Amino acid sequence: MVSLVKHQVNHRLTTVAISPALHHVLLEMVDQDDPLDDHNWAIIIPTIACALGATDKALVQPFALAWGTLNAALRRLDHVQDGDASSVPLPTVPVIGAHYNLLLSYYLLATALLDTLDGDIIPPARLLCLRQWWADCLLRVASGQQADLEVVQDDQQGAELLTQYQHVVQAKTGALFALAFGGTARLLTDDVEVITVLSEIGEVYGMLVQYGDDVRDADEQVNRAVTLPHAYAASRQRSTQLPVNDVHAFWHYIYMSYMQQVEYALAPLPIYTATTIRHLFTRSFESS
Amino acid sequence: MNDLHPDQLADQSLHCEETPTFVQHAHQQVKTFTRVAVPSLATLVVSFMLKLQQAGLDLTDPAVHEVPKGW
Repeated sequence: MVSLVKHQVNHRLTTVAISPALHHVLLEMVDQDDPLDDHNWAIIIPTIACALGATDKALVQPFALAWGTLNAALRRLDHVQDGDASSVPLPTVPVIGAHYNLLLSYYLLATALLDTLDGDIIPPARLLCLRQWWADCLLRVASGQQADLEVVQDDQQGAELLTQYQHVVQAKTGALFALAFGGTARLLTDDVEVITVLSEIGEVYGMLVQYGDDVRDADEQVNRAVTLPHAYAASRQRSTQLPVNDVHAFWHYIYMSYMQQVEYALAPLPIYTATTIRHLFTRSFESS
Repeated sequence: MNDLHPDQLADQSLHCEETPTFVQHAHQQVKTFTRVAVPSLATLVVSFMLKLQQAGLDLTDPAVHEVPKGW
């Protein structure tokens, strides 16, 4: 059975005069990554839509497909830039230029999926607003990625490294999830306060995703410039004999602190909206 | 020829009431670059280490995990 995203991608690519080879390769990548198969990420946009009282989730589905494909493209980019051999190899020749061009094509495909949003139902101003938010967030993602690649650990003291790491995460992963949360809000409402709150909460959610990934995958991320365990180890007092798993406890401490911030942000929202979003955080970060 | 400094030009353009200029648009873009306020990791690590030391480095002590109110 052909997945929904593969069907949409195939339909979109059929309308463009690209080479059959690139068409085939992009479909192959979508098949490998199927963003609707990745349950952790696939639930985010439908959940936010539900929190905002959307009765027809099909309205935001093209955005969910576009964001999911974008997320997959950025993860693949991350692997290429980190020299991570454990990831699924890109279906092209082993030439770095070919890898980057394929990833550019994949990113553009993600953006093209936004074109399937229903312009007869969603007001044009909201679609424009989403497009600008998409571009703004991706500029931030790119700035975070650039900073991540350029950071020189040896030049920084512990606390500075931790601050630098936080700024990288906030831009790189925070903005990606701010796009998901804030983008859904932009499609479904004109209420500026709701849009602002959801964009901010999405950014916090994204930061927690990255911190959690760093702690969970500490042993597998030997090539990444800075991770939470690295930055934490550099910043703690060297003289202190710390217990094992203190970085896990520190992650929990960060989570509790950030959740306080989320609670403040949720306060002005309707109870159902706040409860649904709170549940999304609980489910994502407290279930394992 | 306009002798204004680029910053003055930017200010000037921000005060016109016509179609948004590139500079205005750029300022708006920069505005969206503002980071969301969350407790800094540098602050949190100090606070966490302090609690850990007060608890005799016992991670199972609930006091270690209590987050100060009003971050």
